[in-house]
Amino acid sequence: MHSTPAYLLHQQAYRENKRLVWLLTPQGRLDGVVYKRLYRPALVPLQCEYQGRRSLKQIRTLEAQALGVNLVYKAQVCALYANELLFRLLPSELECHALFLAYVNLLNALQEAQHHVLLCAQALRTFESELLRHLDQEVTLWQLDGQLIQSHLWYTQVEYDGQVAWRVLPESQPTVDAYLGEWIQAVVAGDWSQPKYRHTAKSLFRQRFARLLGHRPLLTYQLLSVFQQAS
Amino acid sequence: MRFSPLIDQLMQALRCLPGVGPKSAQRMALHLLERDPQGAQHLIDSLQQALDKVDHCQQCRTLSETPLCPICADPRRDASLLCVVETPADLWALEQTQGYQGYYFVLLGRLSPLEGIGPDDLGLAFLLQRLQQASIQELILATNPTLEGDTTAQYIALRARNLKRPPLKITRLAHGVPLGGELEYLDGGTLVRAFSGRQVYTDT
Repeated sequence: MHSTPAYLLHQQAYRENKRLVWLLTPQGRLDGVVYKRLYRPALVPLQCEYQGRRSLKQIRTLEAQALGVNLVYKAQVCALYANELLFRLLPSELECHALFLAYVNLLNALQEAQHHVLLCAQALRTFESELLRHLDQEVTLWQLDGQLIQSHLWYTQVEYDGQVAWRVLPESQPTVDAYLGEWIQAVVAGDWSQPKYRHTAKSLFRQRFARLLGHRPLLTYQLLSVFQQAS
Repeated sequence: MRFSPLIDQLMQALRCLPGVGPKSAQRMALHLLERDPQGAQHLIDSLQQALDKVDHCQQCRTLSETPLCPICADPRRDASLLCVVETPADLWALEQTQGYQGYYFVLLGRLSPLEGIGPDDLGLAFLLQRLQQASIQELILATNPTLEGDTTAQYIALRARNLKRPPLKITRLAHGVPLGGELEYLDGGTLVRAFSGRQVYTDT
């Protein structure tokens, strides 16, 4: 029997008295079957005891460790967005301690700042950055030729041999896909203090997630835009 | 041991039912063929008739054999109340209580990005169109208290508030201590919600 902290990402009905659950744990995504009476809601810190050697674990206990966060409107969709990203991109049973911590921090930040759009966005960028790092898709400072980017030059992204790198642009030709070196450096450093840095991070992260997600975009993007317009 | 192709086909067909695995399907198939051929025929007839005749109510989208379900066709119900539920099963559960006399709208799901269900899949345009009726004064959001159900309720509330119509009261079903339940066995989240949703004590 193994025991681990966990958060529920998704669940589905399974037989009369059981549910299929997908959990985020520090050991990676955990897929399991749980009795309905043991089921606990999302966004609540859980302690999970499970057993089994196959990919689908038998979950014996799921105990709430605290109250969890109570989110509304855009903050709730942000949490749903994080869950959708993790559910679709996180490999099962691959250790992710830093990512688990980033998820906990995201939920706490959303709880504290749920009526503050800017703080919610910053918390999301930090989480996205950690997820991309875990998936080996983080934004780097490297150019195609192995040189580091410089803060005063403009760059565009190019894909080479499955990896994304930067190519310097002639100063006279900044395009819509162009990013100033200073902005990229801020994104890599996790600095979301300036609007340009945040905008660059959002744009770059979305492009990377789009590459990973393939042809099926995230549905929560659609929800986020609706909540943003309405609130 | 392998069964004949037709029995295999029947067992495969039975597995489309939720919660029916290979063993259950085998047991059901053999029961129908060996012990209850009349029951099998009755099942075939009922299934065929239901498939032919049952559709969605044109007003509330629950399952119905007539264009308007008996609830929507009943003029004695309270037209000022509209209750939004996720599934026909939720509607039937509420109807069994006989505690609600308004009309319904069935979403036939809930916003669930992880299952690929977005706003366009829930007939929300139809719901918003219905909410333009001035006779509706209260919108009751009775989606389940899950992350997806709560998000669905919040989404509908936001869209409903932006409608150009007379003021609409938007309410959500209460969450809390179940009747006959004991506090010591409740999880903290439910208790917190029960506390925040407490009501003034009255003698009636």
